[in-house]
Amino acid sequence: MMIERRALVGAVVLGLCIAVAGLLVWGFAAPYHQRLFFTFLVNLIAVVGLQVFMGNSDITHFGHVGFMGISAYVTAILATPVAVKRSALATAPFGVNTFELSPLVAVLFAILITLAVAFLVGLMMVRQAGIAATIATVAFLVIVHVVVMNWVDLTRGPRAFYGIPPKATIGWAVATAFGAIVLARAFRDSRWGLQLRASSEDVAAASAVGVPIRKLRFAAWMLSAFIMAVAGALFTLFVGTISPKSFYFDLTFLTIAMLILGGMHSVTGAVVGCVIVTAGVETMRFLESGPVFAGAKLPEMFGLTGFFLGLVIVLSMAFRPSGLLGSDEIDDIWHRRRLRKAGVEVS
Amino acid sequence: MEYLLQQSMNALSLGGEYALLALGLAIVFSVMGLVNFAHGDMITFGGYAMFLVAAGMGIANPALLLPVGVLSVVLFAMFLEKVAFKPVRGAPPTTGMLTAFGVSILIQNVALIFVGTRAKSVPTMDFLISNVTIGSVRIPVVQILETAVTVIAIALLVVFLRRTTIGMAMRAAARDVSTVRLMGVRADRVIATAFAISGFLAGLATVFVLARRGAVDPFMGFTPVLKAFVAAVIGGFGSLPGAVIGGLVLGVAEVMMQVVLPESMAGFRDAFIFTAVGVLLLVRPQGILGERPDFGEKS
Amino acid sequence: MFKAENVSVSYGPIRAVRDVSLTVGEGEIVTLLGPNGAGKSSLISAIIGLVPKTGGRIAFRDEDVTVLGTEALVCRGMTVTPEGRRVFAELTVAENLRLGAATRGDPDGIAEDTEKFLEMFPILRRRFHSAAKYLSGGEQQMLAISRSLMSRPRFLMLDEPSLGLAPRIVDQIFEFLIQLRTWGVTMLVVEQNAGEVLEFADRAYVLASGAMQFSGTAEDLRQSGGVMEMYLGLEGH
Repeated sequence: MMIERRALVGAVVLGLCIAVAGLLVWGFAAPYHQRLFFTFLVNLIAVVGLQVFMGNSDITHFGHVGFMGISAYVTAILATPVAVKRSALATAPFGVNTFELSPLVAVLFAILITLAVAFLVGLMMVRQAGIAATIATVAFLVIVHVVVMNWVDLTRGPRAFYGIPPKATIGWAVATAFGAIVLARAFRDSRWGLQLRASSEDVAAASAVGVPIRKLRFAAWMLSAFIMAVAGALFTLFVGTISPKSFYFDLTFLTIAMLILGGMHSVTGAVVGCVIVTAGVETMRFLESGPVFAGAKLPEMFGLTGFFLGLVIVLSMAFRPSGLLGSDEIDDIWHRRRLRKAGVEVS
Repeated sequence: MEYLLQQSMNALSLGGEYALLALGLAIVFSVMGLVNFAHGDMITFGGYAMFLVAAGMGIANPALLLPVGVLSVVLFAMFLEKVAFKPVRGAPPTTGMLTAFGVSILIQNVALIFVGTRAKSVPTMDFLISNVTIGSVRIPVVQILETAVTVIAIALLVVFLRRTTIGMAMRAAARDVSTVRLMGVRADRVIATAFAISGFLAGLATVFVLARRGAVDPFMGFTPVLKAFVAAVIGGFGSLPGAVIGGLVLGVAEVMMQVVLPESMAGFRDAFIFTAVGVLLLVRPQGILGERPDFGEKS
Repeated sequence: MFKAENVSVSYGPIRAVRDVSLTVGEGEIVTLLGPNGAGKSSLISAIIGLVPKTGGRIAFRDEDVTVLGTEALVCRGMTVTPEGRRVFAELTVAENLRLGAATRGDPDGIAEDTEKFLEMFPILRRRFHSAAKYLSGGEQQMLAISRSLMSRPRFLMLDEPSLGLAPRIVDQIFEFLIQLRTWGVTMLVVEQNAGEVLEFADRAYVLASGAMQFSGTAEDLRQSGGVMEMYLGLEGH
C-alpha cells in the first residue's frame, strides 16, 4: 500500500502545479494568454489520455484524436442553441435541430457515445498484434474524419460548426486536467496497470502466469477514450467553433510529439513533454509568421511548426527513445533523491 | 459485359498500385522490422523531383521524366535508410515506427516550407492519359500500363528473391538476421537492397499516381500509402504474397463500393471499406496470409 | 592459428564471460566444455562478432581481427555452425547451401562442393528442393554443418552440434567431424556432454560461470576426475 499512497501524492503534487499555474493565469494573464493556457490544458488532458493507452500497453496509438472529434461534435450538436441550429443545420437528421441540451448533459451524452464507439473499435483492437493495431488506429482516425466531413447534414461537413455556447472556464479545465492526471496515475500504478506494463515487456511470460492481456488492454483503451472524450468536449465548449481539421493529423502529431518527448511510460513525462513542446510550438508560430527581428523582417515560413514537431520526434527516438523521464514519475525522482541523501547506493 | 470489363480494369490497376506500395512496405518490414510510415513521402519526393527537373531544367519531354521519378525515389529510399533508420536499427519496433513517423512529418513540412502548399503541375505523357478502344470498351492507357507494370514488377521480384544470392539472403533475413551474417552476407547490404527495392516499387507507383493527378503537393503520398498499409494488414503484415493479395482485395473492394454506393454516399467510401477491414480483422486477426501473432519467439 | 586473449562479454551489468583466453593450432580439434549457462555460446558469439566484446583481443592467422565484423571474419575463413542449427526454415536445402557460399564467386567450385555434401549426406539430395523446415533435427544439423563448410572455412566453430539429437545421429555427425580434419579444417567444438568429444579432440578447455577452469589435452582432462565431476557431471575414466 506504501507505493500506492506515494503515487497518489505524486499525482496530486503534479496536479497542484497545474492548479497554481491556472490561478496565476486566471488572475493576471491577458485574454490571449488565457486562451493559450486553455488550449495547453486541453492538449495536456489529451496527452495524458494518450499516455494511459500507449504508456501501459506499449502499442502506438494514432487514433486518439478521433475520440476527441466524436465527443466534440456530439457536444456541439446537442448543446448548440436551436436558434443557431435552425439555420446552420437546417436539414439535420434525428430532429437534432429541434432541441438543445444544457452543456453538462450534452457532455454526458458525448462521453457515452464516444465510449460506445470505443467499445466497438476496442473489440477489434485488442486482438491485433502491435503493428496491425497501430495501423488500425490510423484507419480509425481516417474513418472519423471521413464521416464528419461527409455527413454534412449533421456536422456541416468541412465548414465550421459555430454557435456552440462557450461555457467552459479555466477553472473547469484545471479541474479536469487534475482529474485526468490522478486517473492516469491511479491506473498506471494499480495492479492492472502494473500487469499490463509487465505484459508489454514480455508477452509470453505474462500470459504464462495468467495475466489477461486482452482484458487489460481493453480497460486501458476505454479509460483512454474516456479522457479523450472529456478533452474534446471541453475544447468545444471553450472555443465555440470547431471544424473537422481541429481533430485530424495536426493535433495527432502535436500530442504524439509531446508524449514521446516527455516519455510515454510516465504520466509526469506526459505533462513535462506537453509544457516543453507547447513552448516550442509557440516560438515556432511566432517565427513562422515572419516577424520583424532586430530591424529585419524575417521571411514567412509556413510549415516551421510541423518541422519542429517532426524534429522533436526523430531526435527523441535517436537519442532518448524512452523520453526525457523514461519510466520515472515525479515521486520516483524524489524517492531516489531521498534515498541518496540517506546515503543509500542507487543505480 | 463492357461495364464489367471496364470496372475490372479499374479494380486491377488500382489494386496493382496498392500492391506495389504494400510490397515495398512488406519487404522493408520483413528484413528489418521497420514499419515505414515515411513510405508515402517517398512518392511525394519523386513527384517533386519530376516537377523540379521539369521546371528547373526545362525538360518538357515526359518520357525523360518517368525514369527521373523512379530513380529519384530509389535514391531517396536508400538515403533515408542511411540517415534516418540506421540509428534505430535493432531498436524495438515502436522506436523505428515512431522515427519513420517523425521523418514523414519532417519531409512534409520541408516541402511546405520550401515549395509551399499549392499543388504544382507535372507534365505527363499524352499517351498515358489517352484511351484505348477495344470493341466498344474504352480503357485508359494508364490502367493497362499500371496493371502490366505491376505484374512484371512482381514477377521480377519473385525471380530476384528466388534466384539471386542477395535475394535468398533477404528471405532468410526475414527470420534470422544473425545467421545470415554468419554466411558472410553483410546486413548493411541486405537492408540497403530492401530499401532500394521498396523505393523502386514506390517509384513505379509514383509515376502512375502522378499520371492520374497531374500535380504534386506535400501530402500527396498520404492517401495511397494509408491504403497500402491497410492492404498489407489485410494480407497479413510482413507477408509478401499477402501484400499483393491485400492490394488486389482492397482495389476490388474500392471499385465495388464506387459502383454500389449512391452518389450522395460516395464520400463515405473509405469509411465503409476501413470498417469492413475492421470486421475482417475481428474474424481473422492475422490477416489473410499472416501468421498468428507468435508470442515472443522472434530471435 | 587462432588465439583469443582475455575476452570478456557483458550484458548490461551481467558479466557473462570474464577474461577468457584460448588458442587453437592449425589442424587441431579443440573442444570447449562447460555446463549450461557457462558462457560458451556468448564466447563464440563474441569471437565471431555477433555480440560486442567488452574486452580482449582476437588473432587469426597472425592477423589482429579484434575489431572486424562477422562478415569480414567469415570472408577470412572463420565461421560458426550456430547452436540449434538455425537452418533457414523457409528456404530449400539448395538455397541454404547456396547462401553458405555467399562469399564465393566461383560457380564451378560451388557446384563441386555442393555435390560433395550431397554425396556425403544422401538425404540432402533427396530433399534438395524442399524447405529446410521439413528436415528432421539430425538432417538439419547435417545441412547446417554443410552450409558452414560451403564458405570453405579454415576454422570452424561448432556450437553444440549434438544438442537434442539421437545418439546414433550424434555418432554420425562426430564421424563426419573426424573426417573433416583430414580435409584440413581446424575446429573448435563446443559441447555440454564431454564423453564423446574427448575421444577425438586433441585438447580441451572447460568454462564455467564465465571463467576458464581448465585447459589441457583431452587425455589430461579425462584423467582429472575432479574437474570432470565438478563441471561436467561425469565420472573420470
